[in-house]
Amino acid sequence: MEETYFLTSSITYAMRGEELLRNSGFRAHVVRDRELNPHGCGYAICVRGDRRAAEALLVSGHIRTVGVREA
Amino acid sequence: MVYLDNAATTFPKPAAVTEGVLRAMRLFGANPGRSGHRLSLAAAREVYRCRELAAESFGLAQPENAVFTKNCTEALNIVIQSLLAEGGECVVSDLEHNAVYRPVWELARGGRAAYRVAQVVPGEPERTLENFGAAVGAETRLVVCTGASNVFGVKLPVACIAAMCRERGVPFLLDAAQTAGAEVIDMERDGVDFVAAPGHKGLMGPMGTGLLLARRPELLRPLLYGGTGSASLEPEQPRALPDMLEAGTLDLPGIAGLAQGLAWVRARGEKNIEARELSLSASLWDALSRVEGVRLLSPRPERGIAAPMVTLLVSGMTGEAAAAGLDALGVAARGGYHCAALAHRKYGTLGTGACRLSFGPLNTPEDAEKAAWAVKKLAAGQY
Repeated sequence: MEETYFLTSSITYAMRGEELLRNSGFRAHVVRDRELNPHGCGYAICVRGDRRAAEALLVSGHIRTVGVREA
Repeated sequence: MVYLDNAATTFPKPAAVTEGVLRAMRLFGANPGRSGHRLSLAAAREVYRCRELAAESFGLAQPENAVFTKNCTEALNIVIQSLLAEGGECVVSDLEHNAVYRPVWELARGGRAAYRVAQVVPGEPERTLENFGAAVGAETRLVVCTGASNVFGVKLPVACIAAMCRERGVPFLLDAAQTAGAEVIDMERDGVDFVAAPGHKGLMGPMGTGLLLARRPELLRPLLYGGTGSASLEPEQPRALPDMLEAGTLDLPGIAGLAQGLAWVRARGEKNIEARELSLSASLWDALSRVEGVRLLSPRPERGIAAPMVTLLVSGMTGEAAAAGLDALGVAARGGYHCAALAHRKYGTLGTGACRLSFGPLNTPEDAEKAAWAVKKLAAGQY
């Protein structure tokens, strides 16, 4: 299944986004990768499943992201 | 020893709080929000869990707007110094703790801002509200008041003051040092813009923990600058909460303990805790109300009227001497001025100070009975 990395501006947003996605049935976990996210906090939410639905959920939850990368 | 100094810090703490601190130190004592290994992520998860609990406990929708500080004083300073950074006036009550009074006094001394003092009329919330309304003017940038006097227990009509501030377009900061954990504080419902709270009093966490809860984070500025684990290549401090106000490594063990304290309070319910503490303190107040040589300074503890404490003077003794006498009789109380010159000036106790016996969630009816016995012994000169 396709993996998407939502790059966050802080670890707090990564944690909140992960919880939001999991509560909606997504498989999601927080990872840290400076190469993925050199300008933010270095943390990203790795999500399996429908990227657009996940993105919409994060936006509706006011999760600040600084970028998106496909695996 | 009967501990009745809970207004300074609650003691003992629930066992779960101690276990929470130890668990963090033993199992995942890594730096939260800095590294990618599983211990750091576990630490970050613990911090986030506490942040969520804190936000929920105060009716705050966004967990990221719950900021960890080292105490209530730091949280108060962040808001006061942010809102008055460009000058203007601050309105405070005449019952404020030095945690509020000193920052505004210092700003006024330097000519950077000014402050007005609104008189609290105990037992008359309408008149208190009128006095706050009269003190707010065109230059007012912030209204800040305590939920309850830390010396005399007198409660302020916080929801009414917050509503008045909302109508007048002035930000409102609540000093919840004496009320957090011991009454329901709902920021969204009551329109409170900022709450400063100690972690180590009614929220039952360890000392060295505090919270700032912000509904209007855009008005805040950092008090401390430094590493946040985010935007590391930029010289500018991140502007989003919580990073903006959490420079440097967080107190993970303290926060882990605070999470347990918050959970403990929520499991029991603030209303139940408040009812129990008021019942115990009122029984002490009643037992001492007609004792010769004892002058009760605080109102009878009742919901919405006064916090669960009994503040008194024993004839011929200063507050400090009375507290020392109680210590000798096995009761821990607080004598002196309680870091609250404004309140002692209002009550005419600058010459004597006062002796405060304050209750917490783990006190018992036997504690109140022993305290009554001890104060009566003091008043009779039998110690």
